[in-house]
Amino acid sequence: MAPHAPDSPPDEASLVRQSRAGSLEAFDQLVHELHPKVHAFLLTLTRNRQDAEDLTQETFVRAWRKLDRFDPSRPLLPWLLTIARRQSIAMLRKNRPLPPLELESVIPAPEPSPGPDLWRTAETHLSRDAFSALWLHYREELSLAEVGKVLGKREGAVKVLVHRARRTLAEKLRNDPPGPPPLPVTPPPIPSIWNNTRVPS
Amino acid sequence: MNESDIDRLLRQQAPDIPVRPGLEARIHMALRQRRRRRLHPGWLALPATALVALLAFLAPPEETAPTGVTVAPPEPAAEAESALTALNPLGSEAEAIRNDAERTGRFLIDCLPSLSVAER
Repeated sequence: MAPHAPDSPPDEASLVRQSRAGSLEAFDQLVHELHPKVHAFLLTLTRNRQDAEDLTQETFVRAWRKLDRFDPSRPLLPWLLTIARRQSIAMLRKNRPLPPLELESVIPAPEPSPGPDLWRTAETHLSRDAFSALWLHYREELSLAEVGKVLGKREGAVKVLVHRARRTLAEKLRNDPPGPPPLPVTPPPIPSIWNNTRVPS
Repeated sequence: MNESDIDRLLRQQAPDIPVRPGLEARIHMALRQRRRRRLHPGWLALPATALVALLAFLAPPEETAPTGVTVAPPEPAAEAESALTALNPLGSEAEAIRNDAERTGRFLIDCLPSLSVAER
């Protein structure tokens, strides 16, 4: 292993070791680095921004408590994402009697580009499992085995899931060639005294 | 468009999902709150208290050591009672038979006319 320059930021493994020794400041740095990834993954699972934020917080609190069980020689992100997925399942069980929320769009509005908006198509037409697997493999660059561990599936099952997702997307793009950019999914803000939005006359 | 094109496009177009700015501060705050709750001294003393209670429950009963309090000597009545109960019960039976025999003898002497009176 190459030695680090004196003023380079500490790497993940040393931050994990310091956190395991009880340094909350080191864990804060890990939170800073990794919370957007955990939040994005939870958003693909829950499709609800408020739930994703609550679960991100719970995931890091739980990770801090259970950090002594984590093997510091492994990457931290798959372990965090596994906790995040379990937390989301627990929340789903707890809130089962409630009516289903309207799903939010995960993917932000695309920048104008000549190519097709593939991730929005994936979000619309794939199951949550398939979309999460695609997200972890292509966006977070996890291996298929790591994706399997996070999603509680075998590597072969994930391979099939990703392959089918790609085939579905290819068929969709063949059948519906890219046209004008889609309308924003997010509804316009509700007029309120707090956001200074004028009621259209 | 085939699957390898999809593969390439998925890697190229991977979007960034914006995070609300307050989320990180909220996580830091939650971590500190839980930590403070975790280190409450009352909870730290709980295992020690439970151990002491368990040892007190499992320990053998202590022997009554002399603690300066004078123990009263056994009363004489109790001693006499114990001596009485220690006698052979056949002795008292023999005493009773002997008394009966004396009473019977005196009765017979009183009832039977004496020879001297009959001669008179």
